[in-house]
Amino acid sequence: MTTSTLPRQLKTAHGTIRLPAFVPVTTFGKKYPLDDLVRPYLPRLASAAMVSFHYARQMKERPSLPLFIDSGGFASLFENATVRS
Amino acid sequence: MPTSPYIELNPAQKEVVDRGLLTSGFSSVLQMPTGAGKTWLAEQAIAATLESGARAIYLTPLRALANELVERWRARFQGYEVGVFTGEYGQKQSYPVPFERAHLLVMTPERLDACTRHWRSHWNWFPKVGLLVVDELHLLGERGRGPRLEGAIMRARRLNPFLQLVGLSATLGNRGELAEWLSGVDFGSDWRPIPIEWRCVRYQRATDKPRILREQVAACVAAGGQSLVFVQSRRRAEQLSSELRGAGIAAGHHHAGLDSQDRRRLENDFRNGALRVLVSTGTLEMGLNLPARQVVLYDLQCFNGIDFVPLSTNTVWQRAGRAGRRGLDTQGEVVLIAPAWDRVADKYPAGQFEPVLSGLSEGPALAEQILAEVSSGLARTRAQLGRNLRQSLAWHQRRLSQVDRVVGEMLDAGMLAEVSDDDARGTVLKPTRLGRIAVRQMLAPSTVLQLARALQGESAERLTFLDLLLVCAQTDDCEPLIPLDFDEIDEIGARLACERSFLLSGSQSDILARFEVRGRRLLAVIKTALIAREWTRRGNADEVADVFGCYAFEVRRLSESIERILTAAVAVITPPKEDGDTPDASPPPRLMEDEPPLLERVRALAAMVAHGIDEQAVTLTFLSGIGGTLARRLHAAGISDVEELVLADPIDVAKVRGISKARAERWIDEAAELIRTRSAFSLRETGRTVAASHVGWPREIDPYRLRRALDLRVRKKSEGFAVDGGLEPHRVRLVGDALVCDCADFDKGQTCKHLLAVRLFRKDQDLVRLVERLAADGAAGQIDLFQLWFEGGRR
Repeated sequence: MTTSTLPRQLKTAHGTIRLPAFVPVTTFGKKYPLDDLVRPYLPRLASAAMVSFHYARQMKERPSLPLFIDSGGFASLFENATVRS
Repeated sequence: MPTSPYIELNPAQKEVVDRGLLTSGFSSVLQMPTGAGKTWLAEQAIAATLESGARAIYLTPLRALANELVERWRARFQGYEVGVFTGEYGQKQSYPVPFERAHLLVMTPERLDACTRHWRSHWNWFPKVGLLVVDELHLLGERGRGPRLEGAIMRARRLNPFLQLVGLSATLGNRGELAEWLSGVDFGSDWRPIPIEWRCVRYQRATDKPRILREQVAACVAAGGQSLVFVQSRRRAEQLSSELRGAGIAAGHHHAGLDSQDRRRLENDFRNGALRVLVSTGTLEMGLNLPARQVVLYDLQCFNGIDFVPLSTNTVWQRAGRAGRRGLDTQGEVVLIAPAWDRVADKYPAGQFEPVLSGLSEGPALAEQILAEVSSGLARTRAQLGRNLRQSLAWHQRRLSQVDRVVGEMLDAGMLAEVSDDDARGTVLKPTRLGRIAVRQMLAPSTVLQLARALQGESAERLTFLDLLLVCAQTDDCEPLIPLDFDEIDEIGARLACERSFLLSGSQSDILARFEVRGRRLLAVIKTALIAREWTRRGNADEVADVFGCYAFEVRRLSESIERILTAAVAVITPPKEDGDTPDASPPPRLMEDEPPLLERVRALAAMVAHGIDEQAVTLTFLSGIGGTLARRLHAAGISDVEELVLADPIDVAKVRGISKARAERWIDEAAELIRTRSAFSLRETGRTVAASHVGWPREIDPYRLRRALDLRVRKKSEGFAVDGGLEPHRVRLVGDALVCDCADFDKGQTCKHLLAVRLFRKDQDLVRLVERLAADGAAGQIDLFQLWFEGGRR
C-alpha cells in the first residue's frame, strides 16, 4: 500500500487552488460574449479558471483568480495560421 | 459574525444574531418596531459582507436619510469606500464615489432601478455585490415607487444570483409571504425599547380639534416632553404650528415643501430641544431618527388623489413608532384625535397590519417594467418575458394576469415591436425608439406617448413655450403637480390672459380636445405650467413661490422634473439616424425672420427650465462652451443675450467667474458671427396672447373677469352694492365717482369682477357693448377655468 503524495492544494500568486478543483474554461474577446457575463462570478464558483492562449492574448482585465493557460492548439487550424517550431 | 463587545443586544437583535439569520446566506425579511435596532442589524450584515470581500447595497427611500447614513458609515467602515447614489447626484454633479469604486453603495430604489435597467454599464461592479439591504420594504406596496422597487429587486436577483437580500420594515401584514417570494426566511418581533400607551381623544365638532391639540401638547411639554404632531396637509402643518406658537409653545412645522436645509435645521432644533413641538406631514413617517415622547395623529385620514380615506394601520404605526425616546422616556404616548361618531380609530392600537400588495398589477406600472425588461435585453421573447415576470411579487401574489394584454397595447401604441428572428426561431420583442427613450429617461411609457402625440401632431409647430410646458405638466411623470385653489382662479385666469398659447386658444370644446386631463387636474396642470414659465423668466425659486403661493422647494423640484421630460421630448422629435444617412445631414440654413423650428425651441426650453433663464439669455448657450450655468452668470452680470455679448468689453466679460479674457474674446467673435443669421430675439414669441382673441379690447377690462361678473348677483344697498354668487359675498361702495370693492383682487389694483358686475347693474353702456362682443366672439373666447373647477377632480 502506498500513500498519496499528490498535493492537496496549489498556492499561486493569485490565490490558493484547493484540490480536487473544478476549473471552468473561459474566453476573452468578442467571440463568446456570454463568457463576459459569467466571468465576474467565476471567483465565487471555482478556485481557478482555464483559458486558451489564443483567447488569453485578448484579455484586457485579469479576473481575480488563478488562471491556467492551455496551448490553444486549435488556433493552428485557423485560415492563414502558421506553425513555428 | 463580528459584533461590537460594547453593545448589549436587545432581545430581538439577539435572536436574529443567535439564529444566524444575517450570515446564513439566505435572504430574510425582518419586521421589528421602529427604534428596535433594525439599522444596527443591517450594519452587522454589511460589515460581514465587506469583510468577506464582497460589496453591499443599502436602499433607503429618502435622500436625506441616505446622506445621514453615508456620514455615519464613512466613520464606521473605515478602509472601505462608501458611496451615495441619489437623485441629488448624477446629472449636475458627479457622484462623490463612483459606482465601480464603492464597496458600500447607499442608494434610493430609483438608482438601483436605473442600474439594473442599464446593467451592462454596471457589469464591472454589480456581480461583486453580495448583499442588498432594502430598508422600509413596505414601500413595495406604494403606488408610485413600489413597482419600480419591485422591478429593481426582480432584476437585481436575476442578474446576481448570489445576492442575499435583507428586507427591513416595522409594518408588514404579510411578512411570511414576502420572505417566500424572496426564497428566504422571515423574522418578526414586537419587542420595543420603549412601551407605547395609546389614547384616543374624541371630538364632537372639527372646530374643537385645535383646542384639543393645544391641551394635549401643552400637557406633554409641561411635563418636560416633546411632541410630534402628524397632519394631512402642509398648510395645516403651518397653521397649527403658528397657533401653537401663539399659545406660547416652541413649535415648528416640517413638510416636503421646505428645502432640505430648512428641514435639517428643524430636525436639529427638535433633537436638541429648542423646539418642543414639530407639526409634520408624512415626511417624518419614515427613516429619520427623530423620536418624541408624544406622537399626536391630528388627522386620521389622507387624500389618495381622489378622495379622503382613513389612514392605513401601517401608516398609523409608522407614525406612532416615533413615540418614546430611548434613555429619556419610560413610556411613549400616542394620541389619536378622532371624531366621536367614527370608530375607525379603535382598530389602530391592535396593530393588525395590512398586507403589502404588489403595484405591478396596474397596467401603467406593468407597462413600464415590461419595457425595462425588454429594453435591458433581459427578455427577448414573450416566453422569456413571462418567465422573468414570474419572479415578481405580483406573480407570487397571483395579481399578474394581464401581461399579454399590456404587451398587445404596447405593440399597438408603438412602444414595442415584434419582429421575426431566425436565431430565436420565432419572433422577438424589441423596444422602439420611443420605448428606448422612456427607459433611458426613466419615464412612464404613457409620458413618452403623450409627448409623441403632442410633438408629432399636425399642430406641433404652433406650440408655444407655455404649450410645451402644459404638455409636460399633464404627464404622469411631472412632479410635483401644484393644485389650484378656488380663490386663485381669477388670478390665474388673468395671468393666463397675458400668455401666448395655441393649446388654450379657441372654444372651450376645442381646448379640452387638446388635453388628456380634465377638471381640477387640468387647472393644476395650467398652474404648474405657469409656475415653470415664470421660473424661466425670474430664475429665482423664492420669488416664483411667492407669486404663486407655493414653496421654493416645489419650484426647484418642478424644474428638475420638467427638464427630464423635455430632454425626452428633444429625443422624441430629433430625427433618427438612418444607416444610409449622408454625413451632411445638417438642416438647411434659416433666414433670420424664420420661426425657429420646434426642435430648436424644445431644446432651448429645456435649457431655460434647467437654469432658470429666459428666451433671450438662452441664446448665449448657442455659443460653444457656454452652458446654462455660465449663461446665468453672464445674465446676472448684465449681459442678457448674444447681442449684448457682442457689444460687451472682453475685460468686463472676463470679470464673470469662470471666464478668462481669451474665452471672452472668442465668444464675442462667435456671437458676432451668430447674430448675422440669428437675432437675440429669435426665440421671443410674437403670437397673440390668450386674451388677445378680442382685438381692440380695452386693456383695463379683463375678459375673463367680465365673464365671471355675468354670473354674479348685485343688490342695491343704502351704502353701496352687495355682490354675491361668487365664493363669498362682497360689498362695493361709491367713493366720490369711483367704485371701491372690499375684495383682495381689487386691493391688488385689479378691476375686479364685483366692480364689473356693479357697472353692468348700473347699465354702463361701454361694458354692455363689451358683453355683447364677448357673446359674439363666444367661440374664440379663452378657457373657462371656473367651469373646470366645477367639473371636479377628474383625470
